[in-house]
Amino acid sequence: MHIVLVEDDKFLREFYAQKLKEQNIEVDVAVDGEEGITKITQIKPDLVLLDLIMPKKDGFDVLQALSQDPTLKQIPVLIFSTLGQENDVQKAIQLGAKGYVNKSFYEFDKLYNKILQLTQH
Amino acid sequence: MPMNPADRAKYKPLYLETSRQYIEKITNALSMMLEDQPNDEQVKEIFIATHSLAGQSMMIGYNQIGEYAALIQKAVEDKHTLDKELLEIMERGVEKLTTSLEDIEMDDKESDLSEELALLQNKIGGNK
Repeated sequence: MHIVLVEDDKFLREFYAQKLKEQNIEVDVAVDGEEGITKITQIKPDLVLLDLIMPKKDGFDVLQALSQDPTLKQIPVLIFSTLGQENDVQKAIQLGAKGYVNKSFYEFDKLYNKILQLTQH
Repeated sequence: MPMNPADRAKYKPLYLETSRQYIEKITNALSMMLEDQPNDEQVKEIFIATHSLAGQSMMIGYNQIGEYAALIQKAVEDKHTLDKELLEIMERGVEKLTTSLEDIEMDDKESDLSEELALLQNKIGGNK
C-alpha cells in the first residue's frame, strides 16, 4: 500500500510517517498543499492522509484539485483533523473526503483501521 | 489517549524543536501586531502556527500547551477583536509556554497554565 501524507507540521509528519512505515506501508510526505497536489498527481497513491490547515495551498485546495482531475478523484482522502475543526471536517467531506481522524488523540490503531477500510475494495 | 512513554521519549526532542519554532513565529507576529494594526498575513501566520502547536501538543500529551495554543488560534480568527489588551495577554501567555517547554525538557512535565488559560478564555469571551 502507498500513502501520501500531506502535513505541514514536522513532528506529526515524521511521527505518523514512521508509524505507517512500521506497518509496511510506503509513505511519501508533502509539507504543504502545493507539494501535496504534485506528489498525489505523480504517485497516484492508494490513499491520501490530509491536513486541512497548511501554508500555501490548504487541504480544501487539495480536495478541489483532486475532484477536478478524473485520474485522481477516486483516491480516498482521510482528513487529519484537530479538536474544534468539526465545521472544517464537514466542509472537507462535502468536497469529497471519505472520513477523518483526530490527530490530537494518539489512536494509531483507529487510524490504521480506517486506512484499511478505505483501501480494501 | 496520550502517546505511550517509549514514543514520547523518542519524539520529545522533535516536539521541543518544532514547538520552539512555532512559539518564535507566534511571538514575532504578536510583537508586530502590537506595533501596528494586525494584518491578514500576521493573523494567518499565528493561525497556522497555533493550529500545529495545538495538534502536536495534544498528541504527545502536553494538553495545557495544546489548549492554550488552540485558544490563541480561536482568538485570532477575527482580527477585529484583536485589541491591545488581548495581544498583550497572549504575548505574556506565550512567554509562559516557553517556560513550560523548558520544564518539559528538564522534567517531562509542563507548567501549570490554568491561570493563563482562564485569563485568555475570559478575554476572548468578553471580546465577542
